[in-house]
Amino acid sequence: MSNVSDSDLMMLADGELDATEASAIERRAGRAGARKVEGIQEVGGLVRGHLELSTDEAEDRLAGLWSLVERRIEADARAEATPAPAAAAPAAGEPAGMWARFTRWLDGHRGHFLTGALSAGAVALLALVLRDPEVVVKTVQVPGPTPSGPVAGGPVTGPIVATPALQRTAPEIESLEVSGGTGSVFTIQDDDGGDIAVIWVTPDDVLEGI
Amino acid sequence: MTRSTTPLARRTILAAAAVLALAGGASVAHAQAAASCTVLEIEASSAASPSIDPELRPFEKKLKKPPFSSWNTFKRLGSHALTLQPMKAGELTLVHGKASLILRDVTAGNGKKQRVSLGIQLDDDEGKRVLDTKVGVDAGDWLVVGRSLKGEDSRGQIVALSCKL
Repeated sequence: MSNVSDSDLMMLADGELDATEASAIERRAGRAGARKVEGIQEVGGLVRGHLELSTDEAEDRLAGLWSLVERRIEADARAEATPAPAAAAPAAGEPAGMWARFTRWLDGHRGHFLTGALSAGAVALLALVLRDPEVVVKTVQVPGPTPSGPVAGGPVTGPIVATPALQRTAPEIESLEVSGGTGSVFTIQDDDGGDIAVIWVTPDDVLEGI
Repeated sequence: MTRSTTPLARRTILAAAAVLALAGGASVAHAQAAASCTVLEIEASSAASPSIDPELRPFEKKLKKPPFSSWNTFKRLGSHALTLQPMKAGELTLVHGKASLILRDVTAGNGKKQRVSLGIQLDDDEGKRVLDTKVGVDAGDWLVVGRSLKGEDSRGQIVALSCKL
């Protein structure tokens, strides 16, 4: 065997040495070195052929992937080019943000708000006009038991409760028809300041007796 | 400008009309209420010794005022309780005749007490109509109807009634 190293033979097989060095190594390697170099070149050719075949196969598979990537890129570009719906976006020159949207919404419903405010004002005015001129609050003594009978319910016990009293209205005689006598209408004072209406009928024969 | 003002005024008028309709409907709703009425029949007379039934003590002050002050003795003849439905007559048989009551209407509102409108008919012992009247009183207030009875003893019949809701 020669004293030429394997790395020198591999560099010789790959053509990485200049002509002087190559001829010197070929001389020193002899016949055995020449066969070794041929073997290396043969193996190298096989490896390169295998790699080329693998590359061709990978190219077919990657072709679909590349087309997918390209379609996705084009879709993103279209989405960026198309703006959002005009309702959400402010017009040119208008301020953006929640407050701007709110004020734009108010502008669109100004008529409704105005109607509501006027209606509320009308109701308040009616309440002021129709309310009582004053609220009368006084202590009312709960009437004692009715003289007797099933509705009396027994004597009233317990403290007298002061409650706000509603306004009283005097009794009113809407119509009065008396047969065979004369009708008279009186009012007598009630214990709590109210009036009690009294309708009294005096028959004609009693009047004659008087 | 004209387009927005006209519908606005129309809507305001409609709102005011709705408020008025609601306010008016509140008192009408009370007209369907029933009334619980108490009716007392009292006989008044003059006697040497004045007396008044213990059951009539709450009315004592009133019975000392005209026209009742012409008598000094008051006797409770009966007490009746009846529930009056709107526009349905309630009949009462009294010691001296008969009475008929009808609840004609109930109104309330505007800070005033509820008010009952009653129709009252009073017949004598012989069934002859003595009195036919329509009155309006506050619910719970007393109303007194009376008459002088025939005879030489100058007695009187007093019918006191009060209706609550």
